[in-house]
Amino acid sequence: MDQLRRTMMFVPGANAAMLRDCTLYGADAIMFDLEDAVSMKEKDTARILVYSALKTFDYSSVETVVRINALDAGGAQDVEAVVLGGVNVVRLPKTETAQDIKDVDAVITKVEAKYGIPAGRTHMMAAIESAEGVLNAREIAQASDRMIGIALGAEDYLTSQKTYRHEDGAELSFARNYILHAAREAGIAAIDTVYTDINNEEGLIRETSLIKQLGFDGKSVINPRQIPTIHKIFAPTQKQITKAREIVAGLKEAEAKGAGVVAVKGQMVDKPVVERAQYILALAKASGLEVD
Amino acid sequence: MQIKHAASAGTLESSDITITLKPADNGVTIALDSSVEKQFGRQIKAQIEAALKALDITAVAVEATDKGALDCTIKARTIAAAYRAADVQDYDWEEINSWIN
Amino acid sequence: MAELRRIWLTIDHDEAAAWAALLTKSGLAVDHQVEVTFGMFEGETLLATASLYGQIIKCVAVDPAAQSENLLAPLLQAAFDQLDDNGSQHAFIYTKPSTQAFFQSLGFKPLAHSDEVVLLERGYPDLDDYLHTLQQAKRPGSAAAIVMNANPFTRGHHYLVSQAAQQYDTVYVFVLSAERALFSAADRLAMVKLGTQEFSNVVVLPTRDYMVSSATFPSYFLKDRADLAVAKQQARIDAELFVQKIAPTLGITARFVSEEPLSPVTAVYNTELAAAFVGHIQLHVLPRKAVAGAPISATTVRQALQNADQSTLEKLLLPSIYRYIKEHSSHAN
Repeated sequence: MDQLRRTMMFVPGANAAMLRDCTLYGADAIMFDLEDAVSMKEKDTARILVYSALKTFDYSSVETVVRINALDAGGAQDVEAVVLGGVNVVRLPKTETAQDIKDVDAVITKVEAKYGIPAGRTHMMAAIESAEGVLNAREIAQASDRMIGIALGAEDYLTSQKTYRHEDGAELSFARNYILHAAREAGIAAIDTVYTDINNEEGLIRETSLIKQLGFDGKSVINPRQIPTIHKIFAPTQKQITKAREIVAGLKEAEAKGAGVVAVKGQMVDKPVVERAQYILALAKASGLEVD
Repeated sequence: MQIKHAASAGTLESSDITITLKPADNGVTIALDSSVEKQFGRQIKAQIEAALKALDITAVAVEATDKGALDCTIKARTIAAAYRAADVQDYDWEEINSWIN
Repeated sequence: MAELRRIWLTIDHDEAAAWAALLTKSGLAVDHQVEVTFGMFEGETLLATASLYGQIIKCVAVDPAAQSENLLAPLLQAAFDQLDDNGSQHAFIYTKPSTQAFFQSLGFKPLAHSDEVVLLERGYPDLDDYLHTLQQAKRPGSAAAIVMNANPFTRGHHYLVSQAAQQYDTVYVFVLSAERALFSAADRLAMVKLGTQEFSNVVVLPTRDYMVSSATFPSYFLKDRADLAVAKQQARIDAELFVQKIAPTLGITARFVSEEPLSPVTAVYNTELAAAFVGHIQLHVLPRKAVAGAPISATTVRQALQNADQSTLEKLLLPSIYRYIKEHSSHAN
């Protein structure tokens, strides 16, 4: 089953209480931040704290992600600490080119080899936060076999575009669509930017509905309060669930018969549709709508 | 590891601990202030002592202000304070990984 | 969830007004002698505040309606981080004895107390480190102390030291460490050592943060601008710290000061010393040594330096000190 990534919650790497409590909010993925949320002089303490948390706490219910610093700004030490700590995904911020990803990949490969960690166990994702990054999204998405996703970071991107966030999101439409295409072409996840106005529930609903309509897997989240709202929007409808059940039942039937083709009500069903149905059922289960 | 000068790590926030290490002529002394000292004081000190031992620090005066930190936080703060006090920027992750759990 | 923000008192007038109102509501004076101010906000409402002035954390107040929340820890953490950015790991706080326990739970250690005020410190190097240094300079026998800025060291200072040196086995001369004088602390320490080298029983030591410092007696450095009521409280704490911690470490039973007819702040200080010393330490107040009918003061020397008034300088300074200033200072030529 595909990993759900409806919500990826930011947790400041220097905050001991949040490192302990972050799994309680139900986010699909937790992103421990060693970059912007940590001041320059606390990089060392946050790095060991996150490492220690990864080694100690049971994060098996979520996907763990660590946002590292640029390689020349402590990122290499970040990688060593978190790969050793057993993180699922290393997230590189401000990715501009495929080479940025390849450079981090090389460091991860070295660390995995040094400590006898199975090669390729550590995944990667790229955050794109500039015009250059958006335009290179296709190459970035395919830069490494470790890549599982690509995320849009809108704040820096819009500043570089000489604009800012608007309610209708028109200023982000190109970046969102292009990143989404790059992700889909590479067969990886696409994660939308954070919605920063935490007191504006209506705005969060509007934006989440939009990015779900476009096809995004989910959103980054800065406040746990936003998680239930986003999950609700990503929950499939009863009609979708019923249809997905039929398709999966058809799949099981085909497997039992040893047939190579899945058919539902006499109609042949393509592989992407089957995969989509499985995803819908996973979503339904995570949303508390589906019981096996 | 050699304590060259006083150094601290940690914050006053809930579930955290501030560890200050100061040079000492010999032996390890720990002055602890904790909201949970009665129940957990001994355990907190034991965690700090264990981390110092693993870091091969034998002469140090420790001051700790605890706000209900868990063991892994106590260890992480002790390690960070020790590396700062020893003026070592590059952590020996292999060594740390061999004893932390 | 309350949020930590910096308050720019001189820029944001609305927040400055809210800050002043919160201090007033908490029974504190609206003290603008602050450099950096932080607030905890719920939306636009200010719930708690703390400020920094040098290494002193002050103007700490929490809205009575919000006192069950843990608002102070993030404020104090912000203050420590700010200090750390300035290269200091050492903070002081003045508070009421009733809130002492709270600050101790945040890692502060009490230095000295009067009936109304407690002074606490957090970080390093701390008082224990200082007392350890003093311990190593300790000599046997009776002992007296003099605390001076020596900005620069005059014949008046020399006279005070000579009087004490005649009466006690050892005289500890403490030179202010604060870098808030015309001459650097290193120069002042060197001048005092030079000017007292004829006395084998004089030991010259720095005050660090623990006597007439920016922490224990900040009003001293404000001189004419000081609020005398505040100065009195600080002077008392400075005196108590001397009585409770410093004097016992060195076995000091007496302190020598000059009469202070010119500076109201220093006069307040001498009065508070006398009050705190009763029953513990003998205070010798000596009349100022005069030259040609005028009491010697460092202020006069600094004026003479500025005017390159050689004859006055020769009258007020020992020859060795005058030479030192000529060799080391860009202020004299």
